[in-house]
Amino acid sequence: MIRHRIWSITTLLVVFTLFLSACGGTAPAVPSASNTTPQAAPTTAEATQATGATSASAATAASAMTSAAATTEAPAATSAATEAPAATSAATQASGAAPAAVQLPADAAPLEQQVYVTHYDNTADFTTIDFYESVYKRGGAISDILSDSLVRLDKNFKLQPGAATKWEVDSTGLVWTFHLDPNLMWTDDTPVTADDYVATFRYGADPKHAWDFTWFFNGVIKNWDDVVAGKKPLTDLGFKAVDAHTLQVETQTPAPYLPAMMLYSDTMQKKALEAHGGLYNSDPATSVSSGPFILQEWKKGERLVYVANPKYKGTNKPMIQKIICIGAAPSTDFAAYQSNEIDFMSGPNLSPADNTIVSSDLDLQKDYHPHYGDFRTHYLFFDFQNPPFNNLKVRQAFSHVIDRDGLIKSIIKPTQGLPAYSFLMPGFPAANSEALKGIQNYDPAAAQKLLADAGYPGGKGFPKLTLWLRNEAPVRQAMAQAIAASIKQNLGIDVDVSNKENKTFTDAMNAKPTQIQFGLVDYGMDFLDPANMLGVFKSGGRHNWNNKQFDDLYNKASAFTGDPQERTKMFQDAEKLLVSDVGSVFIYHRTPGDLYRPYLKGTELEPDQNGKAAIHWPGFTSFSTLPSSMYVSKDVTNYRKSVPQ
Amino acid sequence: MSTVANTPARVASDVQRKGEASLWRDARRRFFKNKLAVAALVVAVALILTAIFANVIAPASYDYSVIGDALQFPNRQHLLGTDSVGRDFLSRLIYGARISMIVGFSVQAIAVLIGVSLGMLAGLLGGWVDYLIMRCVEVLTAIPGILFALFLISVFGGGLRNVILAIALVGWIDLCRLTRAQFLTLREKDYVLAARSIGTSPFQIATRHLLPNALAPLIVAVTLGIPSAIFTEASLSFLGLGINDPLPSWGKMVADANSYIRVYWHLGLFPTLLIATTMLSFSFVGDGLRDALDPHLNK
Amino acid sequence: MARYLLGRVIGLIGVFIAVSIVAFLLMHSIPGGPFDEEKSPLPPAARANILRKYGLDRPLYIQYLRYMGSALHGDFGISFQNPTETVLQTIGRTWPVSLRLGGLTILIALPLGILLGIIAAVKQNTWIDYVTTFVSTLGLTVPNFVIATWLLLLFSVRLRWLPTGGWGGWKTWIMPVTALGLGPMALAARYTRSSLIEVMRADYIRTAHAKGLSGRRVIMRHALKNALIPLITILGPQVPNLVTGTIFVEVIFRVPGLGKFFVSSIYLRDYPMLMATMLLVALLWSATYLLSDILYTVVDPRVRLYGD
Repeated sequence: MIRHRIWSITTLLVVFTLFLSACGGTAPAVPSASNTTPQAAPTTAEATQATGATSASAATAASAMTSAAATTEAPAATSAATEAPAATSAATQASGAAPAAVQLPADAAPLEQQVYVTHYDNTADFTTIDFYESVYKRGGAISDILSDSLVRLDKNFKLQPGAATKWEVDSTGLVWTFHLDPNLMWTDDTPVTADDYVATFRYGADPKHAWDFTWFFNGVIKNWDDVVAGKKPLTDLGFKAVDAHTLQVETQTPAPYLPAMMLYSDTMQKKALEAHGGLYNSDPATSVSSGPFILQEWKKGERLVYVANPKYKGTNKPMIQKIICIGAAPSTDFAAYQSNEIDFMSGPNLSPADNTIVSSDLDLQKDYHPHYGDFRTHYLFFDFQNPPFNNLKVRQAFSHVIDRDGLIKSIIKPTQGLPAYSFLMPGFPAANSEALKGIQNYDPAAAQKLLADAGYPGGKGFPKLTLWLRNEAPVRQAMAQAIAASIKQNLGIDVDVSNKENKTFTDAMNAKPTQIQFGLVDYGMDFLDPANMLGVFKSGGRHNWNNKQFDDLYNKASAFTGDPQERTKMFQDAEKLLVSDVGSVFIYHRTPGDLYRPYLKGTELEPDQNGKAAIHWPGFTSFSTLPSSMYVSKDVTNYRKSVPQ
Repeated sequence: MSTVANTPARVASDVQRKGEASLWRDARRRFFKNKLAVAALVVAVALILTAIFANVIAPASYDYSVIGDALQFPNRQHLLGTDSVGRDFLSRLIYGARISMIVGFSVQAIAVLIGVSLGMLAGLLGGWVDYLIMRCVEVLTAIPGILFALFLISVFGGGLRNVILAIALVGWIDLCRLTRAQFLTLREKDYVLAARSIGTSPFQIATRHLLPNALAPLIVAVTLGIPSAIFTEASLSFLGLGINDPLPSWGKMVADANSYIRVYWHLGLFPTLLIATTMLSFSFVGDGLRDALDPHLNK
Repeated sequence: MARYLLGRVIGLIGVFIAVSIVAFLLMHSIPGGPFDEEKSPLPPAARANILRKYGLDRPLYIQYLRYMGSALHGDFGISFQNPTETVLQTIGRTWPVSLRLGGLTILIALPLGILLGIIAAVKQNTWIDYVTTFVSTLGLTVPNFVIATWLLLLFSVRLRWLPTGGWGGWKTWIMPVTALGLGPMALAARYTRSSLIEVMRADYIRTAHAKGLSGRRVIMRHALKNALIPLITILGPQVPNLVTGTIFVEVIFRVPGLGKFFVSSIYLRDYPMLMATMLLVALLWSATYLLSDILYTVVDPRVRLYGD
């Protein structure tokens, strides 16, 4: 009888657990540990990650972007774009006094069904929907949609006019002039003026505000650093209103990439800012908009609702009439998507099991759209100033033991990433992947020889290592474990993998001298210029790989206003230094896809010049031309029983 | 004629000595009559042996990874499949027993040591001793474990010792409160009052009379504390304080599996089963021990 | 009794002060702060601005005294996570939700657990006992976030009977209450069973049986009452534990409760919220402990809490 008891209990357990697994096990890990790592770059909600483009197909994007950044030299090109930008579609022809009715395409669902439902991560910090209030506390929700930024990006990463109809730079290369769209009005019927923009930038630099993104303009905007440090008054800042609709931006050194940086320039209203402070958009009562949408409801931690702005007169007029953002843990996104509760889910929130399910389900496969993301690269870094990693041979040995193709194939999955042998992802301006591929290639034999040459034959005498991770998603935990195993198996060096809490990691990484001997981290772009990505490796920056030659090349290239091709070449030389001196061991470029329903349509969702149909970075925000293009088609009735409220 | 009078004290101590010997003999006899407890003991010993001799038993190394073999279902080559990095899952489970057993038991050992002693003191002495101990308990309960864990990481780093420390720091509270509560009621029972009146020392009263009678809930608390310590270890590893990969632990395996088991069920099922089996076997052994030692039970 | 209660209230103040000091020190000794340093370390000026904004540039003891000074006046500061409301407003907004979820769970799980425990004890070593053991093993060895995810996938994704989350109407309560309640129910069942079996062997119960009292009356009248002490001890803390909310269950089912703040305020280094939640926990636990001590004397009048 007693034996019977043990068996019956065990059998029950087995049967029950099997049953549950059969019902479909579960979603990703504990919320706090899952995919909530703050993105390095100021990614917008859906904006998230990158492309599924193959290296070959992405090459064209690079040239597109370079030419966009080069508008400096060709004001004519930009003024051409002033007239009715091609990318902003038919529905945006609204002008004149009366708000034009929305013109929906023939296959669109009725206006009341133009509702877009997404999740945002309510386990992350989310205090504002304004870039200039905070960049890292926007919770990954749809944000920055209550005013237009000066420029915006289309699906091919080309800069398009936004609130600025055109812009030009003077002969010194230091003074930029942006001409604002005079049609733009706030919902309180006052015009949007250059003063609003100036007030917004000053708010960003204000020491009392202590904005979390001030580094972005460091050394670029005139007097920015001194104003942030409180050494100069706000009025000395290099932003000036020449007249109501002309904004002047002065830079410290020539910065050909300034228009690209001005992607982040969704203005706040000077009046509201002065009356209610920087959080005036937290409450519909004090919120004011000049952008495509207005804030209707914000229940903190629960939901955020926008409706189309009937008074909007800009060039990004939306067809979507209502956006519902529901606060949820990223690990539950897939369940909600499968239950038809949301229209979109961000690819990085798919767990490894979710990805397996997607790849074996034909319907879900159709909903899966790989894209460029924010050109994010994951890489290993070291404490470069101390033994053993101050020895180039050791670093080279490490760079040769990682089977990136195997990692992509078996762990990351080819739909989620590309093997990386250098920093700039194929498709990013100045990317040089093919040429740099051979430097850090997978070659265990060479690695063993290098390690022996460095004085550690077979790993003898090498200290035990701990590989630090910054609150990584499960798939990258697995990747790091595989890397550790590969180092052990090929080089005979013991490596522990420790997944650290975000702030513990960041604090240790940034400490001077750094407290992390060996770590895995990533970076994605803030704006489309090599100066942005490569800036991570400047001396005194994120890592202590200090290379004077790299710094010189980088600084020269950044400020170079001559032939764009020559500039690109300089950046490529800098990156080659970075790769061959093993300033990092590059692992993979993240290229996941998002899931969205087939009833989401629009020209911006159709294939880009590389054939990728996707919601490209930066997603549904006024930084993108997407809002004026996306609509809900009639097919929606096959999925939704009722219009979401 | 005997000049040596059989003083009551002498008699008492004789009886006691004889009683003690037979008490243990009876207890052992009773325990081995309880087949459920014996079966559970066999399982428990097997689990402990597995942990100790993991390197002999395991078919492969716990950290040998073949990336191409990642996420295999149970098959002939890998009886329980492979994990997300292509390591033999059975071997990892066998090695995982080590960490999980060490954590589970050392935490409970510390908890029993601190918790039961402080609980005995509080319950037996009452007054300001009780007051002080209980207020300390209240302070400790209010401080979140994560905060303390992060503090430990920043000061001492990770590692097994700190994991055990972090868990044990609050692990003793339930045991302390249980012991104290049992003592509060038991110390007023007739037999305790009687023992006290004949001058038995408070220590003897506590260990001879009170503790055996307070044992039932304590055993439950200790056995339930094992899985909870195993899981706490896993949650600490999310903060970087836990046991670092590649060393496996069951709790971490369950937690890690959470993003895989919707498809790769084996990753969640087997470690869960092992934790459940461990808890069950130890609670049956505990029940058996309790029954065997039960003063009321004299079959 | 009055003197005893007075002593406990004074003790509460001591506990508060101790918790606030320990918490404050721990909080400020862990790395990081309410700032993010992504691309590279923040320039010193920018970092100093942030610290000044949050009043973190002063010496620690001044920060502490200032905090306690305002706290005495009922001002617990403004949460970094919710800068548009005070800490008290945030708690006032979210706690009722957790209170309701926790309350429901307690009302369902604890009586059910005790009932299961009684049945298991009475029907020791029958199939009922096995099922109870099985359910409680499940409840104790499967973490609640795993249970929550299984429920979600079964009832929302597979069967489409229930919405995946939210808070409003009974349909949204079923899964969180189940996920949250399984553990406490298992706990109640295990302790009830073992205490009852223990008590039922005691002499006076055997005497009661011998006197011819029916089984059920013996259990209700005598055994259960004496088994209550460990139950009060263990289940008491389940009340503050459940009514303050649980991060995993609340987050997975999108319950807008207080639970997530216990964790997020640590991860985000939200010092005001962290202090407030800790003091709230201290208050609730102290109250629970006091209440259970008083309950001991009610259940067993011979228990004396204060001196001989």
